[in-house]
Amino acid sequence: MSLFAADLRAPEITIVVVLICLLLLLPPLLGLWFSVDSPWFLPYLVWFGIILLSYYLQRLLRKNAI
Amino acid sequence: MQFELWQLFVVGVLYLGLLFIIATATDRGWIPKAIAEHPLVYTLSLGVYATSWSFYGSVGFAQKEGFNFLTIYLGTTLAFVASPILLRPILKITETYRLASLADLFAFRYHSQLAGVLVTLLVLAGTLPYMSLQIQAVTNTLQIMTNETEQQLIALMFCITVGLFSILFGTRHISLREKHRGLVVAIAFESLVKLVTLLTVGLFAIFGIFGGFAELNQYLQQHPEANAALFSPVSEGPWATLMLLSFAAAFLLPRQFHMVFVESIKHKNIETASWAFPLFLLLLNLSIPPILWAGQSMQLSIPADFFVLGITLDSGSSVLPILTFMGGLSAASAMIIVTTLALASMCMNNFVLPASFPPKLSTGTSMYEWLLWGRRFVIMSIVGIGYLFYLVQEHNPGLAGLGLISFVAVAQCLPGVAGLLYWPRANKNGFIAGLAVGATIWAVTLFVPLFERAGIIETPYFTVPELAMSTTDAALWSLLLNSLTFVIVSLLSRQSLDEREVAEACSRESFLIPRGSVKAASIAEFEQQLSTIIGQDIAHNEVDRALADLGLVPGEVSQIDLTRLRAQIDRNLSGLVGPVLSRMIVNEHLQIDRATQSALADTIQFVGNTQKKSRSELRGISSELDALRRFHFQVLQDLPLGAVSIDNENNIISWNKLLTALTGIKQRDAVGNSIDKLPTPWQELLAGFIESDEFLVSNYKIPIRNQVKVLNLFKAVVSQEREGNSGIAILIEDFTERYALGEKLAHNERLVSIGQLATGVAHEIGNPVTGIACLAQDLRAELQATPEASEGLNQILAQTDRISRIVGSLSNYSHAGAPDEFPAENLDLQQVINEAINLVSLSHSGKQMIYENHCEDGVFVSGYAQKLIQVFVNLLTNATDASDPGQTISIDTRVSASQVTISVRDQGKGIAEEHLPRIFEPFFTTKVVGEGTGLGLSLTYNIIQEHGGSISVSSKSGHGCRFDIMLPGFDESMVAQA
Repeated sequence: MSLFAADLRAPEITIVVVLICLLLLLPPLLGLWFSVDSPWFLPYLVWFGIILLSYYLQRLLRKNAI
Repeated sequence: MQFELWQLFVVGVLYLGLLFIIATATDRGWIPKAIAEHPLVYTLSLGVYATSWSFYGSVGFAQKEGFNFLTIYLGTTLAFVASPILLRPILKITETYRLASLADLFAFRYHSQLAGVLVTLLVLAGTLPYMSLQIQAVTNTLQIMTNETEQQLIALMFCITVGLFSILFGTRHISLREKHRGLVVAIAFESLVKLVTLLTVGLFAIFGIFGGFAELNQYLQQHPEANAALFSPVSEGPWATLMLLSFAAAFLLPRQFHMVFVESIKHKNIETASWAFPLFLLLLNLSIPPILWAGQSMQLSIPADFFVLGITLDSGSSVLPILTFMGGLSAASAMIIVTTLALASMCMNNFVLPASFPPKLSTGTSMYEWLLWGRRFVIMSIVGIGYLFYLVQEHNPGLAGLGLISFVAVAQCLPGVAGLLYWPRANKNGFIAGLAVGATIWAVTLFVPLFERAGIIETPYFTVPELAMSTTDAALWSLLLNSLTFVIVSLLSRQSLDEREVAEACSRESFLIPRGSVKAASIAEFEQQLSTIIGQDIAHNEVDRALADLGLVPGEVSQIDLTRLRAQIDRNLSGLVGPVLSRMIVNEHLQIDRATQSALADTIQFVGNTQKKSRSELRGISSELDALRRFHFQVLQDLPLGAVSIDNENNIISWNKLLTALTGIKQRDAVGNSIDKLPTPWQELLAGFIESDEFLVSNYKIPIRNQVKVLNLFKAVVSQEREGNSGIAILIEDFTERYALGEKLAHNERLVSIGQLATGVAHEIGNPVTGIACLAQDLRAELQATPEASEGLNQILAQTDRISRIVGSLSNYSHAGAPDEFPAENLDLQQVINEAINLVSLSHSGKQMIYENHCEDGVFVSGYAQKLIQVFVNLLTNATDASDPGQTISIDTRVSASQVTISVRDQGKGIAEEHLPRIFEPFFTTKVVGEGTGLGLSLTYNIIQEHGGSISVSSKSGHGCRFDIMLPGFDESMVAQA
């Protein structure tokens, strides 16, 4: 099942994805990944999650040719 | 482990030589295109973003600012995630208008040379710290590896070597409008070297220094402060500001702009790069914490900026330090090579060319050569300035600090980018004012203090502690005031018409549509007008190049094509001399005819032709609209009527296929031209119809190719008040065949009415004539008339007899076409013909003729015996009348599967050619008055038609005559039904 409604266009989908990324990378969620007790590789995992999101976005845009 | 300087110098030169070989091999096609243009190669080439700062400085940055060092890559990641709304639109604009640098992009969008100059100045100044950072990194590396103290000499040697390689890499083509595939592959290779080196050093740190992951974890448990030192600064540091700066740097740094936009070959590349490039950065930075901890655990005496090198030097192996040296050299050289190329383009287009154009060239020197040497000179000058800057900023704020100063400089272009893509109202005044404010704050707070710290200048103002700013504060304030000024000044000032057009084109990702037609009427005029400013050879080359780009053949260029040619020359020259100078040359020397500025035909044709090229690039709603447009266009093309649309200046906008077939005028010759240029008679027809008040013209006869065509014309006025466009649509129907059918139908109807009239006349005349004949007979019998009177009565009887025969013929004629109440019979054709011959032979003339019936026995037709006998009697009587005594009249039959053909031939005087079309008409006769009624053949024709057959005649005056009757063969089913 697609994460986004079919009638959304490239700008809208991209903005939603960028906002999700910003949410992950700015406080307060930032504190979850960058707390002192976190394993050192946790920030890299979050970063990798964002890359996967970007990959998914491009696949979606290409699949729908938008 | 120590190395000799010459050893590292040789390694460095060999490595750069290898890069040059890779670039050459790519340019010459030795490396397959599929590899050179692969999206992953493009992605790796973007790795030029990772310079010595990333390779060496990230460890030092991580030591000071913890995980804040990741912001430099997370901001870039965000920029690439947002590529569909950020990078892709810019890529489309730069590709469409052949914009070779950031300065060209802003000079084009804000329609201002000053904008280009300011951006060039800012980016040049902002890049100098970054270049000096690379030089410093390489010299420090060499110093660490060799203990060589002559740093300045090492730096000079490095600068000269890299400068020469920049020239070799970057000036292989005349202008940046050609893609440097070799450069892209070479830079991609360098990125791969950096990545492999850092991962190798990272693995060495984990397994070589700590002994494995378990030992590393053990170290972190024993030293919790090491892990905490990475996380703690995040909550305190300028995380968001740094992310914003790296977001801007991802595509605004001159080297990034060059690789992302100028060297992009396929749009698909940037789609792949949007996730693959962040992945590359992630892998590149994965080793940084282990290397930092390894350096700390080893208690290296060198700055953390060089831990990457330091831990390898203590490995005891000579391979790992050399590999690390090559990784660092890759990072520094790639940055300097691409940056100097990008800056050289900016400086040429915004400083050198505007100041010296057109160049005064000596005889035999072409402008291309002059441009090439100019760029080489500028490249060396930029490297030289970078070296001088390196010399004066000895007391710099570290690798990361220098890099951030450059980031803040290019970030000043962010408001301009927002205006470029999303705010068409933004204008050059706002951009220049905002940029001036932002650049001033940047210079005062970050750039000038570098000289102050170096002791070059002593200005008390900058030493006032209260006014001193951190890099991030300076970034925030400069960007804030820049944006504010940009918005306010844009709102308070107005755009020029040209600027507004460009702004709309950029924000809509569409192309600029030229308003009107070019004044030049031919390609030769184009060349001649351009040659006055760029020389004859260059003008010829540029026109040829533009023709090739558009796929036009010089001999088949229409006026619309000339307009497209002008736009293409503008784009090509933009790649050569920059957009402002290119626009100036084109506007001055290839002028637009203002009188036809609203030429709708030109615009539609231009849009259509341009979209053909870019159709594959359309997406989403644009693609759907384009598909709809093409569908409507195809409907118009395939209409079973001729369709032409004309704008309000009588220029033809569309011309469909049927019209081409009807007129013989090709679409490409019609569209875009005025109807006044159409050949006769179409020019007169269309012009007259447009001017007339009639909306429908029927049965208009027009001679076309030795044939008279009958046309119906319909007209509709098309009005688009909102768009300011209007025109006329004309439909042309070829009515010739239907007109001929109508004529035939009318003729038949006339014949029917004549038949009906004949019936009435026969009836009305028959009775009185019978009475007259009876009375004349009675008079002759009862009266003993004188011989004269008797002769008169005989004459009366003879004339009444003649009238009776005529009336009888008329009655037969009128009844011949009527359906018979009895079904058709199976008739022996030979017998029918013999019967007719017997009847004709009874007459005086018939007795003197020879009748030959060649009809074979057993040929049957379906029909009515008496009527068919009458047909043959009529034909044989005519043949007898036309023949001389003793001549032969023959009847032949041919039997095929479905019909029987009977030919009646005589050797008589024949029928004159002009009479042939009329012989089946009633009352048409060539006999003298009293000998024929003119109904015989007409009656014959009707009887044959009634039998479902046809009759034709062929004759030549003096050479006899031949009638061919085609009758359907006998159908057994009819007999069964009967």
